[in-house]
Amino acid sequence: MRYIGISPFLIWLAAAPLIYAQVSTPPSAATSDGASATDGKDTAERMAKAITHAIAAGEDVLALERRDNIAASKQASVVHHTGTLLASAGRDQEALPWLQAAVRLTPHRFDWQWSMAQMQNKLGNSQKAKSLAALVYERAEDGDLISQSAALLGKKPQWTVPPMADTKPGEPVICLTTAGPVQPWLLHAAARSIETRLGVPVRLTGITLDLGKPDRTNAESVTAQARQQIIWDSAFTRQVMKELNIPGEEAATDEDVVTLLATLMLEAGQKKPP
Amino acid sequence: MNWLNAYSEELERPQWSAETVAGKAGNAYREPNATGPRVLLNLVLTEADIFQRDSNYVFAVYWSPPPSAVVSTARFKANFYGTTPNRSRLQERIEKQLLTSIGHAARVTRCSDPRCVRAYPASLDEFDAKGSTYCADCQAGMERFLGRSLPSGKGRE
Repeated sequence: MRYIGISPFLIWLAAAPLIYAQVSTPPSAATSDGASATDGKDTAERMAKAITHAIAAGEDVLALERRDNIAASKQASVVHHTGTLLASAGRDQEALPWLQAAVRLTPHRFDWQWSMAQMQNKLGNSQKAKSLAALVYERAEDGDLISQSAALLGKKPQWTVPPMADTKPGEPVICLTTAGPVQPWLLHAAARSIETRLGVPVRLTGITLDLGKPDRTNAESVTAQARQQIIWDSAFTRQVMKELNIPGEEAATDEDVVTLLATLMLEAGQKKPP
Repeated sequence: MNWLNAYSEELERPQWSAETVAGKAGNAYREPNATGPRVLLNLVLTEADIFQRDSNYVFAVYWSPPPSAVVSTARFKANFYGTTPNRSRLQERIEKQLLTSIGHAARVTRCSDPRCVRAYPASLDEFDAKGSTYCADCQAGMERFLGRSLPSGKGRE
């Protein structure tokens, strides 16, 4: 009998302590040398140093691309970062090949395609810029990218849904309300879907419900799922719990549950369960 | 370590109780007056990730009366999973969920046909695999609710 299923979920859960450790570690690039951020010369020197480092790291990735483009694509952000650093330093001509290399490694990053479009536009290559903007406009899911690329293309999309006032007395309608911010194109797409498929007009109530504070984080739901996956009444689980000083199913904290599941996974890989 | 970053983002992601959102929608609801339209259904759209009781997440919740539904687009977007954005897929997913939720809110009986858009999916894979149109029974139920036929060739294949 399989003791515990090694699903992606469990692997994910086992990594949770590592994840939290990583999240709580301050970024290594923190300004700890006491230098004033307003010191222009110092900022320029830092920028130059950052660009030198980025170019070195990026060149490593591009060298890797020649041998192993799969491995290189996992580090495409290094290449894109080099391009954006050069662009922010005003070195546009130098930035372009880096931005191009980044989208060559990760063509489905539409935010990076948009960086390229902007750079091409800045350099006066308007046809190339429009071609990239068209790609972003057609494929991106992010509302800001869609709006910005539309503007570069000279399009003015009408993402509006008529208000409730635009109805006749007694006319059957479906009312649409938003909870929290919703991208206009999404609202428009939803309304159009309903009208096309059901033949019923959709009207916007104009009400945006305040979501308030979140009721939980996904970590809570994950630990709740872990509680359900652990076989609490098995001798093996009880033995591991004893070794970890975890009191019992009811008393185990979320942290205990994550530790227990991670340990069970490791133990299950090394020992045969009783 | 990119996968670790991805999972840490996943774990830190905030979620809202669908019941709380539904409660707020219920409180905001105002019965239209005699000169107003005839409201068939109240639909709430959110980009927030929602859950119900001990579920990890839900795509939507619905209730009646009045026929109402909250539909979340959070789990339909590529950025939720760090996958490739695809707007036509996102639009299709939202459309499928709207057709499903409106059917539920309209109290059309749950459907057991996995080819029907109203079939219950236990995962996004199942969601994508199910059909995008109503089966004959669900179409009939929707037409009873709406009091008219669905646009030709639109509601069902």
